[in-house]
Amino acid sequence: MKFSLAPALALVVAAPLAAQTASVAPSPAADQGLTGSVSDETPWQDLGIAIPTFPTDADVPTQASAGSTAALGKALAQVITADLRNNGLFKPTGPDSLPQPTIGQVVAPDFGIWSGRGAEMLVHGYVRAAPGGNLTVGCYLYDVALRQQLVKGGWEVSPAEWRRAAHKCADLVYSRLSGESPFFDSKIAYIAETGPKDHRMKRLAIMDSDGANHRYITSGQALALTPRYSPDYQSILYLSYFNGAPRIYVYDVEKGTQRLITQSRNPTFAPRWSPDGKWILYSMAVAGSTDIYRIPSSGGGTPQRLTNAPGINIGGSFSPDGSKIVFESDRSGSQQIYVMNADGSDQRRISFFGGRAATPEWSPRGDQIAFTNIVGNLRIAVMSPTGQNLRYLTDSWQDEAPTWSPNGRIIQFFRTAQGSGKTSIWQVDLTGRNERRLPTPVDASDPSWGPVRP
Amino acid sequence: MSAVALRDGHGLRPEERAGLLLALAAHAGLVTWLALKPPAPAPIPPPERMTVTISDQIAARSTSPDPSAQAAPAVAPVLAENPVPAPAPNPEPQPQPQPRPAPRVAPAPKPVPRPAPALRPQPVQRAAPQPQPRPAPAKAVQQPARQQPAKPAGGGGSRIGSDFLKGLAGGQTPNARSKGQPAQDIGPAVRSALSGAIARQLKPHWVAPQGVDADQLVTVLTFDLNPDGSLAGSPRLVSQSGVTDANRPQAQRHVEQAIRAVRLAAPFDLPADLYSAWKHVASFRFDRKLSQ
Repeated sequence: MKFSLAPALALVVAAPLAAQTASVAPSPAADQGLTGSVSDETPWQDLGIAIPTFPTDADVPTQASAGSTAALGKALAQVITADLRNNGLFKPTGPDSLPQPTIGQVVAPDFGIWSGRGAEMLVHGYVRAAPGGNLTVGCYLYDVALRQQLVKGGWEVSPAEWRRAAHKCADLVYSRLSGESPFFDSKIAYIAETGPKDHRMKRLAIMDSDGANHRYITSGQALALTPRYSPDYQSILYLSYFNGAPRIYVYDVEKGTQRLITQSRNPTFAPRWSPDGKWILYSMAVAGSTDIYRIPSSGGGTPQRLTNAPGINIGGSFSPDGSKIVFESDRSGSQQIYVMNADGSDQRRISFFGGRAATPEWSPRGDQIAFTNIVGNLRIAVMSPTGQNLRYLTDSWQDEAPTWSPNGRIIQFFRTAQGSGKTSIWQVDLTGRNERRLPTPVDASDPSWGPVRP
Repeated sequence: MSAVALRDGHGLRPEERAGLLLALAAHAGLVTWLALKPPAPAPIPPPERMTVTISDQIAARSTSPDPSAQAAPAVAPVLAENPVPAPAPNPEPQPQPQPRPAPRVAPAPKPVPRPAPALRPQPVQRAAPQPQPRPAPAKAVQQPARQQPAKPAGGGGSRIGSDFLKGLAGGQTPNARSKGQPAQDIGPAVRSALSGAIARQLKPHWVAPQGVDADQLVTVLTFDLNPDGSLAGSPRLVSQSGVTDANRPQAQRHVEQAIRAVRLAAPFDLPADLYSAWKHVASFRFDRKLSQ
């Protein structure tokens, strides 16, 4: 609004002056000005980004796994390149095929070189050994065509966490060029699957968003299922089956301890947090009828039953404001998606498209519900909370269990390969165009996205 | 062929030999036909792309210069020396308009008597109007009908009067000149062409950001240009529409990319003599459409 007012104000002010200075007076034609329009009709294009090696002022040895600061400069650029390449929006060129800039060019790039290479964007950075053994990493993003700096950032990290600096730089570039919240510097919890098909060992594991720093949390004695990060991302809720007895645990990521929330002899499924972290929803099959219960996350207390319709009611997920719960029920004959108030009242069906619909999950932004649509194949789809605007995001043989990224723009799911039964974690953005497989050391299922770290 | 060759070792039956010969002959025929085949017609060259500008600025009246108003009189010096004949042709055309209304009146009554005979069997309904037209048109029809052929024959000379060959009518009457728009006025057609030229130069640089519902975003910018086509000041945001909860993160980026496109497209290559029309671009719309 302030932009549109400015010319109008200028005209009002200029009008009395116009009589004195004839040259200022706008001619009638210029007064109206030219109007027109231009449309971008090209298919979506990946943005070319050049990421040369980060130079250093002095090549000194460091504690980091990548080696000296000079070697680290190249490794940083490689991690950033891998982050951006896997995203689908960009076409990054890594340090291996690019000339190395000098430390002085980091703040004053030689744009001629880069425009000649067809790069639209340029990432520069530097590595320096900070006092105390830490590392200082700077990151600059330049628009090559406009020859201007778009954004810059700098971090001091311990040598062991040097990859985080690269993820931070990738986050900076990604959020600046896409407008979305960053997500590379985050952790992912999932279920690592090993062993033969009929005797699967399922362990809870966490790793960085690019698959590095992989760590198993449970030993594999018990079957671990459906992990979910808490809203404050301090702990992970998961379901454990030990000798057929289900238990719901909360694992504290920082302390490395876990506490029991509830246990039962009845089959239990799909524990989920409430947005305020005070409640945990889960489903339990009692005497042939599966219903959704809630229990305080502090532990103890008697579970409160929210649904009482016959059949299977499962997989409750809170809306971000905590007022509603979306869940799956087969009360109409086949699996469909229903919405109810947080206290269990006003249950109504929202999915009325072909096939069955399962495993709904409410977006952290509240505007979408992701679910698995089963029409022959299993496909990940999203719809609005009223059940409108169905959109398919994937088209494969078996994609299931969608969960949201913290920024509500990317959905993680796991894909089962036809025939081999191998499972892997995939990500897809809300446009459905950019699909990416997360590298995991073993087969993986049930992903849950952790926080973007500060 | 290999199967046939294998069986050859066991000896060929007559029908097989005949079939083999037939196949060989057919193959030879095919090879010769392929060798002698007339060259395939050259592929039709794909039509060259052209940019079409659809303008919503349409004038009811053309503002392009009127050729008759601009044409100089053929014998202008003669007229300047002797202005007296000028009023002379004026009274002559005046009587012309007078007979013109007369023939116009004549065809109007014509149809009246024609329906009259048709209406005769129904005197009860239109008894009053019938007698009135009958006598009046009877005279009126005959008189103008005779006048029509007579007038052009007799008064035809008055149209091509003494001003004939002295130049076009518009050149002689000073009023005709003032009627036409001045050539300097830049009409909608020219403006449309100019904005089309700007759009063509912006297009290679305009890349809309990606995202959910990002194709609904529309950014309108305003910017000023110097006479050499370069930007005067920086482009400014006039308005943005189509912002939803889903594409809000891309809204600012959309504006930024639009401004980037203008800055990269400058300096614009536009006709210098029309600078007054393109010095200020009041509102330029940036959006995304999938042509598929």
